[in-house]
Amino acid sequence: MKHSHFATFVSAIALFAASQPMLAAAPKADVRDAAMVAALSAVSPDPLGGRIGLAIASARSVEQGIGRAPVVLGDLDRQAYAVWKASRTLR
Amino acid sequence: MKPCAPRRAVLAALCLSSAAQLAAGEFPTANQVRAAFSAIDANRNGILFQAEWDRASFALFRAADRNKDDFIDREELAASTVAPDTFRRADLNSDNRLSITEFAQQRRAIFEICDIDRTDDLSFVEFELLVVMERAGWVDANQNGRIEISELSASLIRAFGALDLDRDGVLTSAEADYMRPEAFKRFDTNRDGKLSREEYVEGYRVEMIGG
Repeated sequence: MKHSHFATFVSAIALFAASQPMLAAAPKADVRDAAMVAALSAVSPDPLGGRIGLAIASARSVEQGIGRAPVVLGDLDRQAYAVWKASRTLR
Repeated sequence: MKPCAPRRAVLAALCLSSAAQLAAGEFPTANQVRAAFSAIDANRNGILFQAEWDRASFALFRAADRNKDDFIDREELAASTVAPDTFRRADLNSDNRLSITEFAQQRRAIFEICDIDRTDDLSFVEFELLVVMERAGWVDANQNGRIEISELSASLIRAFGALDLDRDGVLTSAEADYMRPEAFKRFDTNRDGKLSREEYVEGYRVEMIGG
């Protein structure tokens, strides 16, 4: 029984220690993201790509209109974004 | 008022000033281009991989998604620097908002277009050209949605026209302020301190596909 308490205590300490880098990493990641967004906005104010982006989107909407582009999109990006976002919100 | 509100106001002001800069057709400085490239280049190897580009896209989406509902909607669009025309066309399912999927697809298409040498990554030169062509557009002669090597010269001539503000047929270092100074010197083969259209096009052509 005594051994069990000790093991639980050690596990709790280990869990606490392991969680510290993750907790510390989230705010750092937020700071890095904010700096990245500011740096990118300075050179590419429109995140959809300015004139290049407009041409891309126009071509795609024409393709979709004539049935050459898929309307139903996969959710891989949504899953990847959720994972990425979770790494930013561990507080 | 929340403590972060002033910071958001400053960020919004910065974004609006950036939008005004784009509207005026101005180009960023070489230092700004370098800083943006370095910000994406997480592993500091001087090349942008798709994964690094995607992470940057996620950060841009999250910054634009102010109410954190995982969509960029009309209200957020009005407060952002996203171009409304592009928004309408990138909104593939026409629900008047951009999902992360629609946003990421658009961003990935930008990456693919600017991967001129088809190496599945972006070199610094390709990124620099992206910054220019976002403002100047590009010449897609065969309408395949890519910048072919054969189309590069025509696209560069168009960019040259956008950069040559005084229309004197040459670029001064001030007009080509977005360029790395060492590249400007290298392109300036007759050493007159200016870039003719031929020097500008040939300089990039050599950087992209070699002499």
